[in-house]
Amino acid sequence: MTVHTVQRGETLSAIARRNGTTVAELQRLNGISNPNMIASGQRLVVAPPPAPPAAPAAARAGQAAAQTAAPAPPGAPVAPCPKKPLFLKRAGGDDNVSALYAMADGEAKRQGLLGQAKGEVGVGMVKMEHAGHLGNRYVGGSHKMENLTAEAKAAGGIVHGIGGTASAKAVMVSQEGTLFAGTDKNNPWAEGGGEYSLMQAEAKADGLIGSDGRRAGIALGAKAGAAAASGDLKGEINIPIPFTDYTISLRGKGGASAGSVGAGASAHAFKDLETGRYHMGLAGEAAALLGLKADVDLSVGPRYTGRERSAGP
Amino acid sequence: MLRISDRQQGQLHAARADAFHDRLRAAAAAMMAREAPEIPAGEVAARIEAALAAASAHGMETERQITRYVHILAAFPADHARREEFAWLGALLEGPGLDGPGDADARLDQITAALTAAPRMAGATR
Repeated sequence: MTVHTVQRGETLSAIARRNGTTVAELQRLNGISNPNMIASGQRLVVAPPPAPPAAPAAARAGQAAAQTAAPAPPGAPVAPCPKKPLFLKRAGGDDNVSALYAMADGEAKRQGLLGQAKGEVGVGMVKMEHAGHLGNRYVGGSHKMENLTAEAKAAGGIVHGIGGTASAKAVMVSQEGTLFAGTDKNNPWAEGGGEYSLMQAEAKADGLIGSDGRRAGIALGAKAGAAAASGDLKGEINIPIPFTDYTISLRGKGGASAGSVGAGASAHAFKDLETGRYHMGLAGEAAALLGLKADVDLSVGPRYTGRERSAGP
Repeated sequence: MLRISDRQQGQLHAARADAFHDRLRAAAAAMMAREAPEIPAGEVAARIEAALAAASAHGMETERQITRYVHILAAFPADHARREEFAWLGALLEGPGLDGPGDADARLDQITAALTAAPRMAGATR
């Protein structure tokens, strides 16, 4: 190992002697200008480390390029890079509108065993999702439509516990519209709306005990059903917690269906490790020709950075 | 006086971040094409994406820090974290007391010093 961790009371000359090198060499390898300025716990390179041939030039090029990069103002680091799907093909449209699309995404981590896979396909028609404000007013709206789409998702992990979710859905027509009040579409003060779908079939399963790498807590639920027609009303309230970047969010959905069959129930209480939010909620539904369903989620944590919600309706 | 809403400010901030990331991708790819033309462009692109995704976890917050970090990691194989010969890089990147931008700068300086210290090191590998 070419790295030495400085222990309490050690000096650079003692470290140099022990590793058969010189103080000057240690200074050169670590960019140390004052040999008396080393601290306990500091890691020092004690021998020229192996590196690819291009690495020295890359380090110099990075140093030079950094001179032209802007120093981010305090509290305003650049936004993290958006994660892109492994495969995405669409004919026409943009990030919000797709006609004829196919998407696949996956993620696997060996240490801790976390895996995720997702696939979606839309045949011949359209998937679209828009959300925005009405000019500069404190009022906005969203619209989402899917025609002839199918999706399957699975995620699971064994880290300090075990958990997994799986879902599959196919729908002929689904539309959703909401209105919201607030300046941030990702965290509106209040949002309400409705959705309907025709010829939809869906199956879901969820289980969590401990941490699966994505969530930490407990969750249990399953549902399966199909409906010729269904309609839902949904709402969301986000209350900012003063002097923090946190919000309390309450979301709920209730609906009815016709020409339907199915049943399901679920409950959860966990921390979403990606968003840092704490969630708890309940959901249930039952249908035999006619059906009813309800789903509610209460969460506290950092403000949402997108429209997508990881738990609840 | 020009006034913009929080939403517009957020959009401007996101657009600026996207533009920075795109410029950095292009600059790091060009540097690697110049310094290591034998490495396929697709592999270089994967290294750059992996570095961008990991920058935050290593405490790289400012554009300057991310620029240096991505250039360095573009030169290392994508699986460098699992390779014993490059364990020193992980040890420096994940050293103690790494929570501030100042610490990130110090770590980048140290890695740059180790990489650029002549004579060229043994055990060089692609």
